[in-house]
Amino acid sequence: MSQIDIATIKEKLGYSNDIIFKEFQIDYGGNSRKVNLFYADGLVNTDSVQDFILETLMVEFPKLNTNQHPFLDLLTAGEIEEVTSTDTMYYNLFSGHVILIWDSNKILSIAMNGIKDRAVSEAMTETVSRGPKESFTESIRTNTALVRRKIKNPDLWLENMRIGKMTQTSVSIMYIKGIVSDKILEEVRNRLSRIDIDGILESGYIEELIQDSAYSPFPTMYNSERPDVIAAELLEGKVAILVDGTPHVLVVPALFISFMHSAEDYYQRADISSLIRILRFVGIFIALLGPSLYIAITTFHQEMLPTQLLIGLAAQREGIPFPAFIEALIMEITFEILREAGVRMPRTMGQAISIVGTLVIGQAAVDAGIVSAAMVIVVSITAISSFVVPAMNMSISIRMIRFALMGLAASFGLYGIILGIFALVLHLCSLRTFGVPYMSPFGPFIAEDTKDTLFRLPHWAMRKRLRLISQNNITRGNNKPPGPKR
Amino acid sequence: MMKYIWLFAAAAVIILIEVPSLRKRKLRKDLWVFFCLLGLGIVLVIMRFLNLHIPNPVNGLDYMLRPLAEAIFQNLSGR
Amino acid sequence: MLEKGKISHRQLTVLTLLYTIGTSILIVPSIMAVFSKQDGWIACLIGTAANLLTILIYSALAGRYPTLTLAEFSEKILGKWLGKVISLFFLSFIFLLSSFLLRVVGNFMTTHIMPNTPIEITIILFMAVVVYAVRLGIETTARAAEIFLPFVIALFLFLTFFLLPQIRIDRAEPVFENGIKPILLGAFYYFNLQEQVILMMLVPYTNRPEKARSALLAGTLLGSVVIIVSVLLSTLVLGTEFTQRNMYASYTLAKQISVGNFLQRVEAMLAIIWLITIFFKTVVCMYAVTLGTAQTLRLKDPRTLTLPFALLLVFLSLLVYDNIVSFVAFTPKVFSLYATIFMVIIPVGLLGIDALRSSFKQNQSSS
Repeated sequence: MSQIDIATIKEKLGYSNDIIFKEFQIDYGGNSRKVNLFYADGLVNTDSVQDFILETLMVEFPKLNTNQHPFLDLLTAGEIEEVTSTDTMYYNLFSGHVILIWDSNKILSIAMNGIKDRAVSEAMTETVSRGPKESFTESIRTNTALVRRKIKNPDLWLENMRIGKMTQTSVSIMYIKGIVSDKILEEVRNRLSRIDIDGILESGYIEELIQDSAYSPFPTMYNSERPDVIAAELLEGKVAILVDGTPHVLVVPALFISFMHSAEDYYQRADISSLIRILRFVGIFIALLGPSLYIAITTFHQEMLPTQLLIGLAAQREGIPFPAFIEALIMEITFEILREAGVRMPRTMGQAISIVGTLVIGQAAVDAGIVSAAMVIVVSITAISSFVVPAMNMSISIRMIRFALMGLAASFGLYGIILGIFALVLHLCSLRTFGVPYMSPFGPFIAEDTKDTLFRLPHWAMRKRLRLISQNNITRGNNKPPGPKR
Repeated sequence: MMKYIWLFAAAAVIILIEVPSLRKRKLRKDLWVFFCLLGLGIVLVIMRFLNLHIPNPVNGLDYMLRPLAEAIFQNLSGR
Repeated sequence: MLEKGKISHRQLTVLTLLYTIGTSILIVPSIMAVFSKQDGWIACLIGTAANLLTILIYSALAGRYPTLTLAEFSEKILGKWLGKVISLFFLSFIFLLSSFLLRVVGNFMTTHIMPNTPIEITIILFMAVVVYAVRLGIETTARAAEIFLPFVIALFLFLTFFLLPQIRIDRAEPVFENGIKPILLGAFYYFNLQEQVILMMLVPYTNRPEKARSALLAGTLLGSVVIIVSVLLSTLVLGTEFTQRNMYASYTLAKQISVGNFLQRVEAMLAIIWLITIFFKTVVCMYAVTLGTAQTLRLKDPRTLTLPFALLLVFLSLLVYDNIVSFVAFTPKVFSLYATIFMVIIPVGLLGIDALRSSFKQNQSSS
């Protein structure tokens, strides 16, 4: 290695004052050697630097008979490597390594990470009443450890890559060797390696860059901040993509049906989970079609209502200045605004907004004769129903499509809604997620795989992994229905 | 007038959807067939707008097959 | 191969099932009542048997050219030019049939569901979704069919179940009142409303063509069961007279459902079943037309044809008949004869010529 000029490095770093430089001479093998040491303040643990590097070099080294030991063995730090390229040196520097330049010709990089991470805390978005409470953090190392702790098996493999020309974000692919399908894995690797972007700040960047269909409202990649969910998905043969700096871990391939499942479905008894899932599908049906059915029936198909209900509705709608569609649109948009405000607002203001919200979209609007009470009921039920979708990104898709269906209902009644659903189902069936049909196991129908879809069979009955995802090691377990031994 | 605007808007959208990819793939014959069929469609629709008489293929079929159809019907209807 | 997608034989069964229910569930009960009176269901049984028989012929034909569609092997059998003529003739039949399907959708929607919407708009809207499906390809369509199938079955069973209390068996009596002839007439008309021959265009795209025959048979049989049940129910609940007078008898039938005071006006369910099935029938027909035309004219991408064909189909569907009276006069009597040409004469002819040719070739090579 040629001479390394510390001045060039300083200039390259722009004399940024968070990079601490230290230069000293030590006696080694009879000669006096120059040591340059620098690190990014805040990223490394300064106590360790003091204890393990400076102490060793300045105090212990002169005492030793250094001829007997290679230099590297004498440093009392775990992860030391010799670096040959300056790019790696800078990358390591900003990953919390201490860089040591020995005698101006040898670069050593010593891991001394000491960044203050957020502690592992409770999951904020995917809450369960029974099940582990922990969630991922921003540090990729903590996240991999959380998964490793659940799957203690050498077959749990990790592949690391750096994405983002400027940010050099570390992205890991995690899978279980022997279960994962090689085709899917290869596809993930290919798509990740094709990414060309300056920065990755969240897994959402990765998702948008590698998902299957750019123009679909539906998510084709699943994400979760729960280690238990990721572990369960890995056991099914899926591939997890962990991105440094975000607690949201991506999972592929993601089937449509998996967005309808919550982690808790697997922790509660099978019969309860199955009933809850059916309830959830009813909720999704309402969230998707509630306002459009109301619009279609009150505008075009009044004859479908029982007479008394029809009279009641007509009496309510008397004096309302808008057609049902506009009425619904006003209410829906008001609600979306309230929801958005509720998410963005400082936490302490929540109370105020919810009071104003209930008063505005509830009582006052009806009293003022702007909307009918029935419409308030429909919109509120729809709004609540849209929260039963466990996955946030799927819930957003359903909200968007709801507006399209409302438009169809307002112009073409039930006929429009049905044709809209045809188009929707066709679109869903045309999607693929990393080579796997999005709507499987329903389209294409695979009877074996429907055990964990609309309902969930007990764990002892789910003996096989999903056929389209994992072809290699398909048996999950071989249990008999439990009970006392006979 | 509106219906003409709609017709030409629809035709323009159809051309915009199909033609660029066909030209890129250099599918000459497909392009020809596409324009012939589209032209035929537009001409027929305009003829309908103008209330011109357009022969109905069903009438032709009816003319050719009616005698035999009636014969079958008479023989089998049991009247 | 122009179509890269593959469907499984199970998907072919599902498509065949929906295809068979297609238009028939709505219009067959009335036609059967007109021509075969209370014996309509027997006529349907005979028609179904004939249908299954023709499928055997079609599969024998397909078995000789397992990778080719009808539009392709007709050229192999009859030579390039005569084959092309027969293919185009056949395609014109599917084209006309598709326009009829569209018109039936438009008519039903404007008379029963959306009386204030112009028929042009309903047809264009339906066509738009059909075009979308055809452009997505047969694989996607087959998957969508699998997703819709449970809904069709569930709604049908629901309607059937709630009609059971209103059945009066004596409405189907006397059996064979007018002898066998009217039943044969009904059977002939029923048979020709099924057009199973068009499904032949899909057979080469099944992943195991040797199973296609059983798939077609199973799909047709199950679909026919649904039709026969609806014909029977129309007769047993509405009576022959009433069924005759209602062009959409099963829709009227669903209106009869009334359980307590809350379960009423469920005829929309029948409309949904029918719309789903006729949708898939139209998609299959339009798919067959575009694919067949592309194959006959040696085009590279059948998708190109979908939009111009859609325009022509919408136009044709508005042209084919002026009013419902001419439709009723034409459909069973004349259309059945027209369909016979394509459902029986052409396939049997192709099979016969091909058999003769191959035996001739064998003789030549052996002598």
